[in-house]
Amino acid sequence: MNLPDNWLLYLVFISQIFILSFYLPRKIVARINYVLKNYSPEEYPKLYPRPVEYFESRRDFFRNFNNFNILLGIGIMFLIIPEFEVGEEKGLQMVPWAYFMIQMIPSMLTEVFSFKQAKMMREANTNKSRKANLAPRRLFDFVAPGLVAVAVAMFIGFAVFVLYLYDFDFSFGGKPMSSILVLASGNLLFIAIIAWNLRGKKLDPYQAYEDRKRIIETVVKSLTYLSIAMSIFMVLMMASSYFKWEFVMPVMMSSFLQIIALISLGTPLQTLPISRIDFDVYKNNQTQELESGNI
Amino acid sequence: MQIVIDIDDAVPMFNQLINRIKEAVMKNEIAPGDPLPSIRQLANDLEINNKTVAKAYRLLERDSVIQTKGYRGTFIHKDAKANCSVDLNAWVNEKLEQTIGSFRAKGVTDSEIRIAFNHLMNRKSS
Repeated sequence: MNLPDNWLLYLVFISQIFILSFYLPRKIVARINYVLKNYSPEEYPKLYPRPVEYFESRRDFFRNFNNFNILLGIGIMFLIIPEFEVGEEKGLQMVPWAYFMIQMIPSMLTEVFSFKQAKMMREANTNKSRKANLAPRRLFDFVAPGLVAVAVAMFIGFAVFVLYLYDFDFSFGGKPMSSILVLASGNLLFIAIIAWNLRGKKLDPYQAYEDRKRIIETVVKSLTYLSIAMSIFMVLMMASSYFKWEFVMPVMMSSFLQIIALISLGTPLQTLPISRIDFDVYKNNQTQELESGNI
Repeated sequence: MQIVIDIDDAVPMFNQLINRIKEAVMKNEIAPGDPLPSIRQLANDLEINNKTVAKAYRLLERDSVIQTKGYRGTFIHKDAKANCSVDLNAWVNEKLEQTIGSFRAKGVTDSEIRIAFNHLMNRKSS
């Protein structure tokens, strides 16, 4: 499918390359560099359970993987997309999806790395005193009930819409029930992640309670928005499949994946500015006590 | 309101937890009717066993410092402040001392008191 046949797809695909492999990674790398520059291992030893070079190598790997993804995206745009003919959009919609999965690998590895870093911090933590806040963390402390109601209504709306399209076909394995099951599974995963954030173990042993609350709020809000976006996307996909609007599917798929990335990666960058994070908790105990006037 | 416990302290962790919650009530840092975190949340935050927190909550509920309202959660009891000063251990010690004193006055030996006490305690638990 050449540029004149579907210029919109090319435009959206360029945007996918730009947002997921350049714009968001560049922001993440800038954040890592800011921390490495302003919070040195000498002054904030608890932040670095391993030598600083280890963290720099992880940052470089993240940056290089994303640079490779930019080249890969350009390659796909010039070598793979033109191979599809008009009318093959159903297969073509899997190209942005497959590319998205590759684009997300560096972020997923970064997530795994941050879990490992937290584990190393817990192992290095010799402090025998444990702190907890005597207030419960409840869902509606972090998200407006109205927003959750919208997410639930969107899911129900999707289920009713898809059942209506297919004459209320409740057969197990049929198209409507399968898509409802897929969306319900996604939502269940979100619920599990939210529950784990609200009640689960603290990963970073030094993290200030206010920072933890801000992170929980961001996760809860992001996943609620994602649930709404997923319902809208599924409605559009089911409608385009039913009304044979296959030609819009690849554009819709790529746009939706960009929205997912912006919500899941962009929101934390926006709502958790580094200047608001309490880094004093990562200083060594003596420095903390000196600054608080206890020595 | 933040509480701190020391895992190396000789005082058992459930007792430290009871003391911290009672201190918070006495210092008006938490008021009657205020909600408390769930057992799981508090245990995870303090990185201790759920059973330790459950034991502390059970004893605080027995002393009417906190009250559990089913699925709604656990709250500070309306008479928590007054009930915090009630020390059941001290009361048991005082009552036992009086009773043992009256036995001794009647000439009962310590060995006989111990056997009778153990016999009664074993019967109670069986």
